[in-house]
Amino acid sequence: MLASLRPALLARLGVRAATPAASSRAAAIGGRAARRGWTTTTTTTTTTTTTRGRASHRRGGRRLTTTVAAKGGKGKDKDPPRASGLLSGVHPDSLVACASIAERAEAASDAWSVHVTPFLDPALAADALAVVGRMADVDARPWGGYDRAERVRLVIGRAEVLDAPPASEGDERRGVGSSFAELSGDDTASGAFQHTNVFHPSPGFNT
Amino acid sequence: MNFFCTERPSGAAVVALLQVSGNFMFDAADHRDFLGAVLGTGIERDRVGDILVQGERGAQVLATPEMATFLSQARPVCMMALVPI
Repeated sequence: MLASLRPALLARLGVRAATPAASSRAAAIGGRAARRGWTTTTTTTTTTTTTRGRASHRRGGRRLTTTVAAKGGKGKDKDPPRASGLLSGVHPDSLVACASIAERAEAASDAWSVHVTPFLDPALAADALAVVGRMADVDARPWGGYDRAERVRLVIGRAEVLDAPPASEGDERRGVGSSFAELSGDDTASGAFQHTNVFHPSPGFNT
Repeated sequence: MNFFCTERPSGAAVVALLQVSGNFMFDAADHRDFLGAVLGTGIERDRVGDILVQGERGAQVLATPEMATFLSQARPVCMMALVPI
């Protein structure tokens, strides 16, 4: 059918006819495409290009569908890798890191332990929080040292473990919302560091 | 240089704060100077959190507690932008 329409279209569009062999090959493949419901182009030149692209992908077998879908406007030739399920919606650059965090979160849930990630970029932290949020029985608390920190670490574990009461009275005063700006060298010199945010037994070098 | 650690409510330390003090009035240092000095010691970026620059007084560097001990003794960080800290 396409072969019968092609000369009329060529004349109307002003496209110079291709070689007879290429035209017949394009017409034959175009006819198969039309029978299968694929989108075909109207000019000979573009039809030939489409044919070659499809033929090369046809050798690959499985990628044929993706290519045809791209021609039909349902997608692009080179779609970025997309994840489904737990990692759906995660940026492709964050897939590996989020998958690792999800594995560690699952391990922390099974062992009733706490896993702390390294410092994460804001985008990766948001993706990781979304992934852990989809998991059952696991919770994640971002903490970067102060409330509006950009780079944060995720403290991952079961909510019961994360919300467990502090082990000692001194720990109660080390709240998550403590501010570093309130600390100074005088805090260490006065010996009050045991009940503040100071953790290390030798809290640094006053220079 | 001082460093302090904060803990999550029921566990070990998560984040440590390094107070980088020095007179940066005549040799100003910005965020990238501090970050470069810290990363110049060889540690990875994911071991360092935010860096809060405090103008001529220095900066506060957030890092993992393990790295805080290392950074407080690292020689490249003790002298930065020709300013002893």
